[in-house]
Amino acid sequence: MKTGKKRIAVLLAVSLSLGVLLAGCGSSGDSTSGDSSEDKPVLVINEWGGDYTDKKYGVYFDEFEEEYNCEIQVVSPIDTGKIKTMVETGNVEYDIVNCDGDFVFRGAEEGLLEPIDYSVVTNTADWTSGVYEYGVMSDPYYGAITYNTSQYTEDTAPKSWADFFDTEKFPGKRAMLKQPTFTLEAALLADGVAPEDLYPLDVDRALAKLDTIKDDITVWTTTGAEQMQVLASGDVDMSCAWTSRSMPAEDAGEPVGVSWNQALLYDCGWVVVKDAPHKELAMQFIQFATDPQRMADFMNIVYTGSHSDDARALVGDDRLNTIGFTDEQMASSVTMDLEYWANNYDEVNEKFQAWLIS
Amino acid sequence: MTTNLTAVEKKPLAYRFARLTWLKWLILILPFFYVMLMLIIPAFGMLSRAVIGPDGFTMQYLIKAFTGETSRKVMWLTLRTGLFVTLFAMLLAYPLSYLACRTPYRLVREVIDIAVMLPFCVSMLARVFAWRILLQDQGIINQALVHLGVISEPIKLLYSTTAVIIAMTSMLFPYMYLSIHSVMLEIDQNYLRAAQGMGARPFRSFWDVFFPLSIPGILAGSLMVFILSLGYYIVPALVGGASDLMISNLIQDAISTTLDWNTGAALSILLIVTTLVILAAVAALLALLRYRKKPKEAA
Repeated sequence: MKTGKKRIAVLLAVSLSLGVLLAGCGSSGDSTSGDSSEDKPVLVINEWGGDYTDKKYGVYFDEFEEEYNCEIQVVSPIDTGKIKTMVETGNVEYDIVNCDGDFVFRGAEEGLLEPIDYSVVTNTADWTSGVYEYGVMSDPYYGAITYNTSQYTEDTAPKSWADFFDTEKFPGKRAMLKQPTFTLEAALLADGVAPEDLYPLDVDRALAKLDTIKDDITVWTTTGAEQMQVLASGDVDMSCAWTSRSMPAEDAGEPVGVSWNQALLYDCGWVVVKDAPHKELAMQFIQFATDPQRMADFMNIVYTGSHSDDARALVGDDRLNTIGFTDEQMASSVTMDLEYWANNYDEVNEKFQAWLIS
Repeated sequence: MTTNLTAVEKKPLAYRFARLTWLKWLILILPFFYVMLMLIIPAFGMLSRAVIGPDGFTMQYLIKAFTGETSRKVMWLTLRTGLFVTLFAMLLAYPLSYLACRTPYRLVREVIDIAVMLPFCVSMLARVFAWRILLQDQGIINQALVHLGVISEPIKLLYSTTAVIIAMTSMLFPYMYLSIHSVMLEIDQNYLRAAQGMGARPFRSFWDVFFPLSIPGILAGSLMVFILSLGYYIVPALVGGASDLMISNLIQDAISTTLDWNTGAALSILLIVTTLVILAAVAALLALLRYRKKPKEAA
């Protein structure tokens, strides 16, 4: 009896440990090419997730799957640290990433990206901006002055960053982004720096300008959802917020309004991960997703823009005005220098963080 | 209790190892390999980046992490937050645990136990967001205080160090409660009766008899809460203000945003070393206390 029990225990222990080992080996090998049921290739796209990503199914993903006889698997959220791990360990699971603009440069420098094959991606040939060696910018958006409409109307609202920093003429609590991007540009524009002279940023000057309203900035936001929440709840009267967040909120009847002047234009784009399992298919997807008609369809349901003039021409003026991508709105905006940020983010961020806790 | 009377006879370590059957060895070795494979080796791989830069061995990252103004200041802020959280968790957990332990009513005890354990079933993120709603300017706490006339306009609770400490205390409080409670339950109530039988007033019997016996629980709980608190970063990021940076926020920035893994590893080492130094200091303190107590007992 006693030995019987012992034997069962041993069997259990051995089978458990074997199971763990086998499971460990199995999953490390081929989790991306787990297409044993069918022979269709699986294109893995790393996305932000949420409602915004879901809308891409109707415009891009479903149709691409059909046309190219493949399967698209969306993984979210985006973690650039994870991408670095994949490339360094030679176990790349993602094909495409829809990343923040500066990662196009940062990722390229770290050796994490494939150059875009412009013999396949030809839709971007006549774009005047947003086309780079290692990425195609697909979803430009703004960081703009956004106010609570119960405190300010369209006429009385701050209309420039100088107004935003003027606490006498425009009293009220403010929120800004807890990151150097957008925040330092806003400070320098408020201090009178011309948009074309912004870069390289005079970080010390920007921080000195921020010092003048540090006590009035009651919230330092870390997420897009938070930007809207503090405005809508009345915790702050004005904020630097992403228009991809504030415009849907305004449409949904939240008490938020946007001042388009000096909106800071930032980008979000498609990149292909180094040694991606389906490199060619990934390039074909980028060509597919930069088609003007599809981009126009997408602009009709989301609040980001496009670098393609053809795509914008296909969207009605009313809609363009809502999402902030009419010619005038784009002309009054300030384009942020992605390359500057890719090269200097670490250093500037360190100064910014030190300033925050000072 | 009779534990001190029938103390297990101590055999040499080698003797005890020799007596292990192979099945027991297996039970020891499996977790050992698991921890080595999944934790220790990858951790060393990551931490080695603190001294191995793109051009080979370098101390620049470690020197920067240990002497840089930002990282030192943030480390200090982290320690300060941890100390406050530990202190408040202790102040809350001790009386509650005492009540649960001493109450003659079973219902009270069970309600306290459930109330302490229940939040464990709710995801931490959900609890952080609940605190955001409670603490905001238009939140229930501020509104109630305004309506009661305690304050004339909302005080700033959310996005402050106060909010970080309130939220983190609520997250970590159960660990403190469980440590103290388990030790308190072990205290023989007869000691208290004996003390009172000898004429000690209730407070005296608590302070001279019960409290000293419960100190191990306080120490274990404090250590656990303090060390866990050093690694928090979601709570400070979501309810803290501009200056509520924890060392983990810096590490996360380095690993995920700036992809500067050398700095991330160096900052991790700063955190590990600081934690170890504190553990060593506490251990030394305890050893000293025990050493000073011994001669008395012998006399």
